[in-house]
Amino acid sequence: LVVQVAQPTLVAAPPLSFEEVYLTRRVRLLQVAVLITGSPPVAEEVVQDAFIQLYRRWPQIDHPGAWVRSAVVSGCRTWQRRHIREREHQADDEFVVVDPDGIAVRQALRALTVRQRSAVVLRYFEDLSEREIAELLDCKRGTVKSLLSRSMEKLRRELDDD
Amino acid sequence: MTDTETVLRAGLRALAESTPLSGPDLSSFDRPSVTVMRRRRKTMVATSIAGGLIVLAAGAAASGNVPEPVRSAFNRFAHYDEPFPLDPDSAAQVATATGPDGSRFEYWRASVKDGGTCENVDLVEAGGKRHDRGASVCSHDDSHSSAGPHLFVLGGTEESRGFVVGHAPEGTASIRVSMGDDSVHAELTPDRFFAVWLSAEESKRVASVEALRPDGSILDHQDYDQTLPFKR
Repeated sequence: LVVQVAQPTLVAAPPLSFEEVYLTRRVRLLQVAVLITGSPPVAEEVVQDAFIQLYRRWPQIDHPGAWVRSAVVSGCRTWQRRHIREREHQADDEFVVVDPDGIAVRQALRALTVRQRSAVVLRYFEDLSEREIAELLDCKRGTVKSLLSRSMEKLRRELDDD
Repeated sequence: MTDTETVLRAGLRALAESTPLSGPDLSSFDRPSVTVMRRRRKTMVATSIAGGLIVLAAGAAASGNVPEPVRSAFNRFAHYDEPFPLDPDSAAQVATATGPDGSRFEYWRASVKDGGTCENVDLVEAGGKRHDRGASVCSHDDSHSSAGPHLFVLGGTEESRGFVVGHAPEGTASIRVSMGDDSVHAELTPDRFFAVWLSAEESKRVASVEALRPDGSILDHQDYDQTLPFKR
């Protein structure tokens, strides 16, 4: 298909290079990974691993932005399993937060499992739909609904306690 | 939005902004020489589109079941998440145009959170095969998107077929696609969207797209000069 784009305010999506994807997506993905894992060093590792996988598979991937986000969420899950097994990281409190909402939410997020945190971050930070979250977490949409509902209950209690 | 959601969103933003981040480091990647060989869909700018043959079909705005190729097309703009943060739940099929060969162009639309829209047109063959070549455009500017008060038109061609889709201003009774000596009329959906399926030959002759009042007078129009698409 060829679409006409006459007006300068219209933008058609051009092909992206690996560098463009890296430079435009990396910071946002790091933020997502930090919110899920609670640890900037772990987030750096997870995101860099995801981009290395993307780089290796580049010719076969049609939607690199979506792909690498999926790889980051998956990487956070893998980190969680390793973390539980090895108990080697104390992820939280590795960076300073001064915003009162930020402090309260960081404290409240600790009450959630990594899976619940992933759902919450993808819904309320990345603004993804339940269907998109279900694909990323490899579960049914109903499971996402349930994850979000339970998470919000916990968060409400935690935030009210503050 | 509940108070908890409001605090949560604000807190997540604050946490994200507090995150200490290292600078980008591309040195661990060799320059990917495969980039130029990538099999990647390319949405080209401009070319011909024209007027139309067959039919327009009514659009049933249904946001529940967005086909994967359409979602992927919209997701391409996620790469531009600063300029075009889409509302993922807003994607809806707003109009469909079916041709004599049974193929159809589906017109999908999604809202951009900070204003404007993204539009996507997909070609579906008679047998149901959906081409993985959806064409999309996004705009923040309401005067150049289907969210605006003016006649909004997008046109495109595929090898043997073409389309005109768009959104009409309030007060429009029907759409006329003029092709010199002849023309095709298209009906509007209840939300004033329209879609027209064109043969390749017809798509070379489109001169203008006009929004007509009930008395047949022209309320708004976009001309096509064979060089640029539709000019306002």
